[in-house]
Amino acid sequence: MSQLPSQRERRRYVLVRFVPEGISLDPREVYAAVAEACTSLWGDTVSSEISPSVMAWEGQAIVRCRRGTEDRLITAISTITRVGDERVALRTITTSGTLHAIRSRMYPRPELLWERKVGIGGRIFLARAYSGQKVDLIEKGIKGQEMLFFATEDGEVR
Amino acid sequence: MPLIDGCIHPYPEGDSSIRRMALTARELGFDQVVAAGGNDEVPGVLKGTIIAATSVKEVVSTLQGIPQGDGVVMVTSGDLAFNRAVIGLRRVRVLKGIQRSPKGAFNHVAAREAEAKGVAVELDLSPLVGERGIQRQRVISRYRDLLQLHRRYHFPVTLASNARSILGQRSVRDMVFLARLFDMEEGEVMGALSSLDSILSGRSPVQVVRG
Repeated sequence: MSQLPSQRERRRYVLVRFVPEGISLDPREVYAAVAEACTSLWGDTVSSEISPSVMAWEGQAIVRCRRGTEDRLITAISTITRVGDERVALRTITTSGTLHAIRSRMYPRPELLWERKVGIGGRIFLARAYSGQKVDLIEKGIKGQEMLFFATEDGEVR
Repeated sequence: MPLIDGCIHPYPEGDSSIRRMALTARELGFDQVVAAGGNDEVPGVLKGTIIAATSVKEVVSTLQGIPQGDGVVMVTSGDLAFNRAVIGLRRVRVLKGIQRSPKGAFNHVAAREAEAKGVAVELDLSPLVGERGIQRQRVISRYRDLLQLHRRYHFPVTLASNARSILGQRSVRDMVFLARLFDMEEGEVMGALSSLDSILSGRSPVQVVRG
């Protein structure tokens, strides 16, 4: 395995974005989800080679791994469907060899355009519209929250 | 060649509207998606019809109720006799859910017939994402066997996220990585993602040109 003059192993950094937009997740739970996905897909031996760790935070995450294992890390990340109790998708944006380069690819959270209540099928949802014609509908119930994902063109949210 | 996600399930079956899923698919690198029970009024969406029947007779009677040229007709796979009979039906384009059928449900004979009739076999990536442990291992092993048949008999295959939500949709790059789990190479993934376009336009993937 290639090493720097300081004897530190070379690393790769993967920038990950969370969907739905605006969701806030506990970094420890994200780490647990990444570690579980790696272990269940690749087993303990390969997971220890990948050695994933969650580095930074702002609606996006930087996941660090050993160089040469980034493809396996990305495959494992694509199998994550939940972080803690939240249903999420983790979209990998880019991979880089330095934190500096990957930070330059980070972007601010999508802008919230409007927020209002809408009724769909006799249920009341809080609709949040984001840039890119996206409207997320949130229903808060006794058993937690349910989400629907629509677009501004959809008749239900117009 | 356009890249097509072989099947998605929009609202009300899933939790995301057809427009939102089409937007997400575009962001994730797809040109088109096949939406089960959807319509083709939304740009980038092909209408898909899934027939889940237990007998060939039932499939034939359902097919009679579907207008000619009405999107992509997909039939849920069954045992070998059922699959061979379904492949022979003229309007069937895709055989779905092969990973849930018995192991011998798609053999070299069915593979030859699928190649001759231009019927694609769908490789559903949702179990690779959603399942864990032995269930996922079985699916990977099944797809590996199917891929060997595909390499030998050249019947079309499609890749589908079968997402019921935007959270279940995966990018083209993710699909390339997921397909590597069963040894599918990048070129084969791209071929599978664009195979529906050839099937729907009636083009053979290999064209013989006489000089």
